[in-house]
Formats: sequence, structure tokens, C-alpha cells
Amino acid sequence: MLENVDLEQKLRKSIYKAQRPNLQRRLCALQQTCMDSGLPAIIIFEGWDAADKALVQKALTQQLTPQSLVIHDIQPPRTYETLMPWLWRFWLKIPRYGEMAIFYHSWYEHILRERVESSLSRQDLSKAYRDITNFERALADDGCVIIKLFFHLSQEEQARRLNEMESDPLSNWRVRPEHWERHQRYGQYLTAIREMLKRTDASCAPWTVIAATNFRWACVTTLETVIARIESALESRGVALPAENTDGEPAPEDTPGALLHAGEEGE
Amino acid sequence: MLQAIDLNHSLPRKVYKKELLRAQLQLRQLAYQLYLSRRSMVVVYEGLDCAGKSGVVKRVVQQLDPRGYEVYTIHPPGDDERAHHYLWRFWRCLIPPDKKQILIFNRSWYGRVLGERVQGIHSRSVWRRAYREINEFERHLVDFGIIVAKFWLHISPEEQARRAESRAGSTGKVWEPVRQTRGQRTQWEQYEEAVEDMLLRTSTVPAPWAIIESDDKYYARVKAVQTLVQLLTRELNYQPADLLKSLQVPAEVLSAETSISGVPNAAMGNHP
Repeated sequence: MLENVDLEQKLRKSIYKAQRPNLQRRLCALQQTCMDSGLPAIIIFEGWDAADKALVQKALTQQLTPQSLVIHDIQPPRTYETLMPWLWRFWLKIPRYGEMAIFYHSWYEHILRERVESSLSRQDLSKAYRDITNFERALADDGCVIIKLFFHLSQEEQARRLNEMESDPLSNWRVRPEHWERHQRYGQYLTAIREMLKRTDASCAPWTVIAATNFRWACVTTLETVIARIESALESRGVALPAENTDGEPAPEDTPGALLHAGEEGE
Repeated sequence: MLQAIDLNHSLPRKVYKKELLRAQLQLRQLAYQLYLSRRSMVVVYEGLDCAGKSGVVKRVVQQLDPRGYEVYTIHPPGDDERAHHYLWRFWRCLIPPDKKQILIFNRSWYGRVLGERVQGIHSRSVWRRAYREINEFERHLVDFGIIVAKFWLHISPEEQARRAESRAGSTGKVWEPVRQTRGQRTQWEQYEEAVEDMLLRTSTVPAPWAIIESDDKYYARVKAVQTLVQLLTRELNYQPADLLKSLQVPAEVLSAETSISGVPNAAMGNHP
């Protein structure tokens, strides 16, 4: 799956500037339709450190209403969470009908980080794959859209980004020692990721690998993927999609918020 | 399958009192061992209306340390619960074992394939896939080390009708829902089919069903507690002492309905 990804894909700035606001508006309209028709959605952000997951997530949620949007930043389990079956903490976070839940890291940390860092046994690993497949199938059967995004970077690009961030006094706080440790173990992680993508790619919850070398490309691809998946889910439910025409609405470039954030992303 | 259950068991009151207390005292010791080993247990009681579920739950917890158990009485889902996958509300009921070790469900996630199926709330494909989801849920718990015990309290339609009549006229049980019971009795055959399907499809190796013949309340209560004692003895590999024999509990204690006070707490395996 990773082999077919062309990491060198780029998007011209002019195209990006033209497309992004339209896609964001479209997603906003779809969110309203999801709320009205009770369609829950789970969007999972997994990927390498420094792959700009957070920035893409910001672009994704910028125009959405927080009313039916939950963002879960998944950390390693707390002590009381280790006393429970491992999927327990994720079951408690599933979205309501009509709600959109974004998981910044997710249950896949269990089979990535815990596998590489604390050597999950082979038996536990295959149980974890089974648990995840069952969990996602139960949610998908219940009507939930599960969008799984993996942000892919090459090892060289990751090193370049970490170095660049470290040399900039305004952003070197973002680089922590564990980022470099994980960078050293790129190969081990790659093996775990390959297996994860293969074992957990189900028809009800497919993986989408996003080439993240170019931020503009990653951002637009993510928005397009999310929109396409939600649209097809709404269509299969027989819900009328919102009209494409968005005349009369102010373009996000004109709003004060957009101006504030205009200079930030990966220039 | 349900036809084959022999409902003719019964116990005289004297034997019932003695055996129940014996089993309860053993259960208390085992609950303490459960606490020491930081494991938890999920106990499910299912049965038609008037089968005596609440009575059994009451006897199971009667001698237990109240800090160690939690009883959930499951009603039809509320607004918040209907807005999620149906297993979500039961995942929310789980408590880490350092707080509570015994989680008792009076009715449970099996409502999906019993009442909700018979009443036709969901389409066929919805309740059919629930069997698989329930098995996966229970296996996930068992894999983690949680003990899952499931009891089906079985009564005959005649006994159910008799109890419903007496319940309707009894002032002591006015809170019990009478109208629902009438509905169940008219749909007896559909319920029978649903129950048989449930027992066949969800009796798994990690989480098997135990059937309690409940036409006689005394017999059902004693058997329910004894079955739990056997299960925990096996799972925890701990043989509880027969305190009734060694302590020589006075006869008046046995005749009292409520909790006994004369037995020293240390011998009973109290939480520290």
C-alpha cells in the first residue's frame, strides 16, 4: 500500500488557494447534512511525526461548527485505563449519531507505538488486530463512516523537517527527544505500519495513505477524501446531498479568521 | 431446548435458609479473593418478567461488601443511549477493578436480541448481527481477565401468569410493571424462539450461559448463588471455607430474612 504512494506529489499554490476554501465550505455543508440525517463519522489521523497532521486537521475543522464536532487527542493510556480492556477508552469516545469525531492518533497507537516501544507479543498483536477489526465493523454496521488517514513521509524528509523545526527558535519547542528516538526506529515503525495497513484495511473502514511531503497536497487530498467518503455514505443512506452552488456566501479569504491564519501553513 | 428444562425442582424453606447462607458466606470470601487479585467479574441475569431476577440479585449481594459490587438495572435506552451504538451504554458501565470488582446486570445487552427483537423495534439484520457483536464484546472482556457469568432464569408460562396475577394484587410490589408482563404472555412463542436462539448463539467457551430453573424461588436463589461460588472457586483457584459449619450460626439467625450481624468480619473476608 505504501509502495504505490508517490511522495513527491505537489500542488501549486494558486490551485491550493483556489480549492481549499471551496472544499472547506463543502465539508461544512456536509456536516450540516450529517447532523440532520444522524450520520456519525470517525476521522482518524495517523502518521509520522512532523508530517503536519495537526495543520491538516486545523484546515479540516476550520469552517466546521464545533457543535457536532469532537476532537480526541489520544495519549498513552492513563493508569486507570490500563486496568480495563484496552478498547474500553475508545468505546467511550465514539461519536453520537450525527456527530463527527476526529481522533488525533487512535487505537492504532496500540499496535504501532506499543508494539515497537514495549514489544507487544505476537499473540497480543493478533488479538489486537482482531479486536480492531471487530470494533470497526460493529461501528460501520451501525452506520458510522470510518475514515482512516495515514500521513506518509520518507525518513529523509522527516529528518529534514525535524532539523528545520529545531533550528527555528519559534518552533523548536515542538521537537521532543522521543521524536528523534522514533526517527531512529523508522525501519521498525515502517514494518509495523505496513502490517497494520494490510491487516486492518477493511471494505467498511479502508485506509487512505496521504503523501505528506507537500503540505498543500496533503491538505487538499485529505479534504477531498473526507468529502468523498461522507458524500458516498449519505448517498447510500438515500439522503439528498447539499447543493454544490454556494453563491452569496462570503469566501473564507474575506473573513477575519482566514486572514489571521493565512500566513501559517507550510509556505 | 427450553422444553427440556426440568422445572420441578423445589426446596423446603428450612433447607433454603441454611443452604443460601452457606453459599452466600462462601461467595463473600471469594469476592474478597477477587478484590485481592485485582480482577473483576461481570454477572448477567436475564429472564422473562416475573422470573425472579431482582430477588436473585438481592440474595447474591446480601452478604457481600457493598464497596465491592455495583448493580445495574437496565431499562429501555434513554435519549443519550439511543444516540449511540447500543453496546456503548454497557461499555460505560464497566468500572476499573480497583474500585468495583463485581458488576451485576439485572437485564443487559441481551435486551437487543430478546425484547427488542420480539417487539420488532429493529429490522432482522440488526438483531442478527448483534449475536456476533455480543460474542466479540464478551470475548474482549474475557481476554483481559474479566470473569463473565451469564444466567438465564427460566419459568413456565403458567408460573409467570400466576406471579403476574399475585403481583398485580400485592401492595408490596406496586412498583413492578404489570402491563409489560401481559404483553410478554401473549407473545410467549416468539419469546421462546428468541430465547433459544440467544442461548444457542451466545453460549461461547469464554462466556457460557447457566440455566436456573426458577419456578421455585427458593431453589432458584440457592442454585444461582451456588453456581457463582463454583465458578469463582474454579476461576480463582481458591476453596472457600464452609463458615456455616465452623461458626455454628444460631438458629434464630437462620430464620431472619436480613443480613446477619453475629459473624466476625475478619472471618468473612471483609475489605480492609
